[in-house]
Amino acid sequence: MAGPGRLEGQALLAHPLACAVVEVVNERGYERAGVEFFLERAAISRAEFESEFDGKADATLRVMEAFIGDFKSQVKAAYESAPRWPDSLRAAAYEAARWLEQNPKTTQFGMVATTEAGDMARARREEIFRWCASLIDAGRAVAPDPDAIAPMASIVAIGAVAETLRRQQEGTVSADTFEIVPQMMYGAVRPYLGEVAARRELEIPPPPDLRAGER
Amino acid sequence: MGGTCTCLPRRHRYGLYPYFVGALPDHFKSTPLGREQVSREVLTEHQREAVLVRVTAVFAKRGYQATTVDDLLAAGKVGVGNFYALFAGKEDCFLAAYDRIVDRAREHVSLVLAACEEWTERFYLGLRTVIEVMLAEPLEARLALLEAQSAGPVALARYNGLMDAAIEWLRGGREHCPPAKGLPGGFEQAAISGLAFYLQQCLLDSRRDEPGELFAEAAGLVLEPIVGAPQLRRLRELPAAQAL
Repeated sequence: MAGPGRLEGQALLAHPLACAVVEVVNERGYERAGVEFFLERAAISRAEFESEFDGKADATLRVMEAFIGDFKSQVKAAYESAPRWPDSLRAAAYEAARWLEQNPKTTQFGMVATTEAGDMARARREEIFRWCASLIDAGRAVAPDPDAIAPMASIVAIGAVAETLRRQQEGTVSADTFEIVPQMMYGAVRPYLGEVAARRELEIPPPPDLRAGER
Repeated sequence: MGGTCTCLPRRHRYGLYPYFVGALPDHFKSTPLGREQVSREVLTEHQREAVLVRVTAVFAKRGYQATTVDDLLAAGKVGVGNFYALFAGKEDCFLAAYDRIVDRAREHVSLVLAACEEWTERFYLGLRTVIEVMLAEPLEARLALLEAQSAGPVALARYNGLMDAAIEWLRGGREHCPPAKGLPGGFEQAAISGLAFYLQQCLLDSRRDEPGELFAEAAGLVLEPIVGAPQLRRLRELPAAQAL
């Protein structure tokens, strides 16, 4: 937990250390990414680092949390911009794809480089996936037969996204993030609204980028 | 006591025992102690297998990154010299444990599918067997599905290879099942990846899902788009003995 006066959220993302942690962990792997590399890359003193963080694990986790917070706030805004599911889910999916495309280093950091960073990092990753799964499972409210939907449906759908992103980051699967959105929407919508509605998702073009002017 | 056994017909007697005891295969017959030595290779293989069984629990419970060679020595009940005679190090030990788990699961699936030729039945029964094996051995499943992803590039490549093989197997359904035509190109990748992720979540949460229910849900999500609802209903009506 962050102590008084400690960096978090957007303030942490604006600090050179956030960028340094992401780059060093991506380049060296978590195990070989020592604090001295963070200091050198961010051009800050050890005293400054220690006034903000308890060590490598704390810095890595808090940078990860800050990026997750940024991702969630943008995806949530997109989700809420459309009144009805699955339009809301589609808007969120494309916003997530935009965020991932615009933050490739952070995506690599969150999906691959921090897999060696222990249970806390794993828990943060699981947490964001569960949150995304809740956006998918909101489809129950509009499903013709909610009781017939497999309880695992939303986890399987978000798991497909998570695993595809992981393989994409590793370079073992070549997939354009934007191009896979309709396919992922097919998988997310099918258990809730059926085959016809799911196939429609393959033809629907991306919604407009509501934040285009801000980017 | 004494005398010969009279509860079996005479042709079933061999001295005091039924004849089939006397007809045991040679390798089951006792041999005088000290006359024949077990080969060093057999002993080494036996010890390696015993160590792998024990260290699987350590890797699964502590996680690959947190596991030390000292942990493996203690759990494996093996000295430093013997450990390094059996394995090149922690990663090599992990890879051997991973391969052992995957090979055993493959053998199990092969046995179940031996008498089955139709693609839909083979995939249905294969998926069911994999889920049953995983839920029956959660520590082994945890090592193979979770820890393999953080145990270095070789383990990760083997894990990815396993996923790719499952994806290709499911993709084979397009040749056999008309409903699969028109599915998005990445359906199989998404379906297998999503199911693997779900199983990982079960293991992380130490959830004890009932295998039959979990399998029924998984088959609906993964297989129904390929084979269609009527075919899946037919598969679900396969006799339990055949399904198991």
